Amino acid sequence: MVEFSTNPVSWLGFLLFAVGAPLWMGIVNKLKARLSGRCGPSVFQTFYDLARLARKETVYSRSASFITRLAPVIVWNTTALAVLILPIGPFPPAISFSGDFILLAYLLGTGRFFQILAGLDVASSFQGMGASREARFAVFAEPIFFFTFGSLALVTGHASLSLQSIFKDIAWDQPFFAVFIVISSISIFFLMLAECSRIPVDDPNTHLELTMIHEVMILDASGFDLFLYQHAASLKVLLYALLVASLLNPFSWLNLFDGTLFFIASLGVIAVVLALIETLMARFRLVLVPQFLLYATIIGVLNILIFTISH
Amino acid sequence: MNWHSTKPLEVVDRASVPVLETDSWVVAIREKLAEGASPVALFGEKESAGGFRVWCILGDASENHLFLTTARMPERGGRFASLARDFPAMSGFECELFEQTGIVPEGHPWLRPVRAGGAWRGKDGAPYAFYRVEGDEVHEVAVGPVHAGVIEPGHFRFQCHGEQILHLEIGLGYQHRGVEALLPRRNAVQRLILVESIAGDSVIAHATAFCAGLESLAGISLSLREHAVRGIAAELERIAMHLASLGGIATDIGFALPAAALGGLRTLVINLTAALCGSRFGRGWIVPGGVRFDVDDQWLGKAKEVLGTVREKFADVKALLFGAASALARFEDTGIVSVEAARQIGMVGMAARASGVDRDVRIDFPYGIFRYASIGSVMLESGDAYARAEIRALEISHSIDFILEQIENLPPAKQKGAAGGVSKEALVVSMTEGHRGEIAHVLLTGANGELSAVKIKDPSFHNWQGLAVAVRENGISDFPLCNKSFDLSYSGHDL
Repeated sequence: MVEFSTNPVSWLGFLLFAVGAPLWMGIVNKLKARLSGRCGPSVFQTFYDLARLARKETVYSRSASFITRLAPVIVWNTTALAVLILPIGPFPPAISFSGDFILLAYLLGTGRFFQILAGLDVASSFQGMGASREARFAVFAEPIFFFTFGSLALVTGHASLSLQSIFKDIAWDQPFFAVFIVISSISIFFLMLAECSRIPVDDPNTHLELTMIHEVMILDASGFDLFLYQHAASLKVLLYALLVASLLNPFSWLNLFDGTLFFIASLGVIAVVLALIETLMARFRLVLVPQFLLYATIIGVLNILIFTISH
Repeated sequence: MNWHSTKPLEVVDRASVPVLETDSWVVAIREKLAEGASPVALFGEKESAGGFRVWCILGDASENHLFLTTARMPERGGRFASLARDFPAMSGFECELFEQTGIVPEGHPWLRPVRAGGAWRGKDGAPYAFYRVEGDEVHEVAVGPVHAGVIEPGHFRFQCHGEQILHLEIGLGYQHRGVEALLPRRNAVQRLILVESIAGDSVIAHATAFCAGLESLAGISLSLREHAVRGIAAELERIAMHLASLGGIATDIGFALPAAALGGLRTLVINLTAALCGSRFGRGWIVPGGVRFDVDDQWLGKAKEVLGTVREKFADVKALLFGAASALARFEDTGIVSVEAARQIGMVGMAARASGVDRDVRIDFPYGIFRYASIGSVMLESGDAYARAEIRALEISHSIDFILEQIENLPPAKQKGAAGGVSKEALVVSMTEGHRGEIAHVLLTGANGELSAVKIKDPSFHNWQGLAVAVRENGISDFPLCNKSFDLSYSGHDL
């Protein structure tokens, strides 16, 4: 049964999320700069950049078809829809039903599909390479998500991401359950690095077309289209960060105020970990990325095995 | 005799250099190359009577000797049998000669423009056809000449199979300013400015080569102190540029911390240069007849302090960069140039030393202060991006040691001796070791003692070919790392 939240609070959560996503990226960038001893741009720089893009004219390549115009809209909308399925902190999700995490995965998948199409559409050799890489790595990334949330659904007996189900029944008092959850969150964190083009899988700051994955597919985008892509990308990063944070869901064992504090703090910790990784680690060689993703999958598989055996 | 034997910075009377028949000229060069000599310069000097006198200068590092020979070739229809097939190191020189004079190296396996870049047109006006690999699964990637980063223009044409590079052709020439042609036509002050802008990151090395050549021609000898100051300047430049290159390498593998730290260290070093001569890249420091800015005690104290800091901090950064498994995984076995390949294509400088070819002008053809004080030179064998990064790190340490040693033993300043007369109808070859490798300036004077022609060779001229060889069979996403590990100059190549 599909439940649409009638509570305006859910939509408030979405708005907070949409505004918070670029801010969170700004914080990660600032942390990264400080950790490598630089001053770095303001945490609001991401907003300035987005505002600049939104005001700019959108230029299309002569070889671009309608796909190029359609893709940014689809990418943004699917990502935004995916956010509506997630509980954002204490706010219940706007949409929830049994199996909604599958919808979440494939909403993001649809976005990716159109992004890849748009990459191929303008027939640039760079974008073609990027599209091929994105498609290839997606194959390895998908099992991570399903192993983690599938096993979570199996363990909790719920298949909805709503606060009342999967995340609610996480029993923190049982030690092996706690271990299970922590390891699951590591799997999802790895997935986040891959899906959101972060180091060590991709380098969000590079200017080198030949090494890019995500950035190269949007090389031809400009103006409002690029605004949509960039905002969707920041939504996606925060969405995964939120998934990790939600696994440690504090609202089932803390009151609302403490829970919210803990929740925000955990997002902060994830930002610090992300910044640390990006500062202290070099990118993988491209051929090693599938290996990295398989590790994350295997962690997920072992996790569920260990849990079932020991439980 | 087919050859005139000389040494760098020895004034050669041009009349004493033999003029051979074209065929015997080619045979003579072939014999010398087979004996292990390396090409230093090949160029055509336009003669007033028409036609070209084509100079070939080879170097023999083991004996610290240079060999000169020439042949006369007509302006139109000049041709000789190409040596490039047997000695690939000659390939670039022959292409350059063809481009500059129209003299055809017959049987050259791949006669292509060196500097014409995108402007090249074939006989029928057709655009230049890049080398292509045919096949259903082969795709072509064209990068540049306009790049996404703030770097110089150059065109790279990849033939790829999936992510693997099968072939890379490098098209340069977008930075061609005509330095060689401009130099004889400008006054002494303008010349120095031109020479300093051959490659903006090798100001000291190029200026020293040019000035040393002029001094030889004018019979000026420098005091030991002036040589020492030039040596300090050159090694400061080497330290700064190696730091910058390592920072670039770290940036390209997405390793933020060492990238930022190395950028900071480089700033310390170039600011030290600026503190003395007012330019962070050493412009105006070296002048014909010595140095414009002599070092004083205050600067020397500062230099000791800065270099001490750099050494200390660089040890930490080095441990981080070469200690991280993720970075080593990127460096090792990426972009290998084998010893044989490096020898064949005539690579020079640190890139050659990273491939196990021991070529260092400071040791093979010692000049200036390096005749009196030795500097540690390192050689590694693996020829991969790791070796090229590691060798930079080692050279930074050696250069710091060298400078500190020079500071301790700095000879007192002396009154300069008078300049002698300028040698007329002469030629002098001046070589220095820039941070990339062998820099050679050949200066020719006419009947009035004025510069009549200049031939300049930047190490990038040799080493771009090394990059093309290095990236073969590598992933295309590793190209930026390979490129940065060489860190070649576009403008130095294009002149």
